[in-house]
Parts: sequence; structure tokens; C-alpha cells
Amino acid sequence: MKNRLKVLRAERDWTQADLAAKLEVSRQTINAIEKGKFDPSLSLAFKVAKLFGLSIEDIFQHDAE
Amino acid sequence: MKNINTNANQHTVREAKSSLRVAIWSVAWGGAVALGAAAAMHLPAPKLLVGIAALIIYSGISLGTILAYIRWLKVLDEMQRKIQLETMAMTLGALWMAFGGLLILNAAEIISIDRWEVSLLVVLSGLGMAVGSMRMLKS
Repeated sequence: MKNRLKVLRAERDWTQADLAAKLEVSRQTINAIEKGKFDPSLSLAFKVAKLFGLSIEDIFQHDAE
Repeated sequence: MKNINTNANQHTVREAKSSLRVAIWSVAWGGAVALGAAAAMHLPAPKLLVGIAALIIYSGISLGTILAYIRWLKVLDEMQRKIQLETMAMTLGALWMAFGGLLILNAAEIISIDRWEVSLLVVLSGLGMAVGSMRMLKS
């Protein structure tokens, strides 16, 4: 699954640690999501979407294989 | 920004405290095995009495370790929990493989299972958890 987390975070000048604190997860988790190594749960995806004021589809795009 | 850092610090501090508790309980657990066995062998008291007392203390510490581990898992976020789940699966699988292998070798009279081989299983489980947890640090 692709995502725009890194871009959205950079636009707000947030570090991975800042975003991790806002979402109450570890910085490693933010790093793994940004690199596409880990797909967040629906609950966390909703939290991310709410934080950025966007829909889930605006942030996460499913890779059809 | 100050609030963000405070939240981040609180999360890190909670995680560090839980990790430390698991480490302390694990050391106590290992110590209870060694001291319990040593006490049963060397204390000038009836072996049955010492053995039962050591078993009760060991069981209490084991329960404490399990509870500390569960509390630690609750502090972790979803990715860390997923890694730990995979780590536990890997460790359990390795233990079953090793134990089954020992039973087969014992039945074939290639080896004779004694305390040494059984203690290796504990070492194997520790290694499994350590290797699995390293993935959490690397991510």
C-alpha cells in the first residue's frame, strides 16, 4: 500500500517523532508506514486522516496486484 | 511543540519502564530456577520441603514475569505488537522443533535427554525472543 504520509508531514514541517506523538505510536512505526513496510490498521488510518483533515483514500492508495 | 514532546516522552518513558520491568522479572525468573535447584541440592533440609518451597517461589515469579510481559505488550503500538506476535510464533515453532528433535534423537538412542539438553531449550527461547525483538529496533 502506497501513502503520502511523508509528503503531508513535510508540508507541516513535522518530524517523525512529532507525528508519532500526535498519533500515540512509536517513531519506528511512522518510519515503517512511510517506507511502506507496515500497513496501519483501519483505526490508525482513520486517526491519520482526521489529523491531516483528509479522507483515508487521499492518504493511502491500495496497490492492485 | 512542547505538548508534542511531552506526549512523546511520556510514551517513551512508559515503554522504557515496562521494558525494564520485564527485564527485571526475567532475570528473577532465571535466578529462581538456578537458586531453587541449588537450594534443593545443597541446603541441609529435607529435599521435599525445599523443593516445594522453591517451586512455590518459582511459580510466583513466573506469574509475575508473565503479567509484566502482558503489561509491556499493552504499552506497545500496533506494529510493535505485530512484530512481537511474529517473534512469539517463531520462538514457539523453534521450541517445538527442538523439543521434537530431541525426543526423536533420544528415542533413537543417539542422545540421552538430561538437564543440559532441557536447559538448551530455555536458551533457545531466549535467543528466539532476542532475534525477533531486534526487528523492532531495526524498523
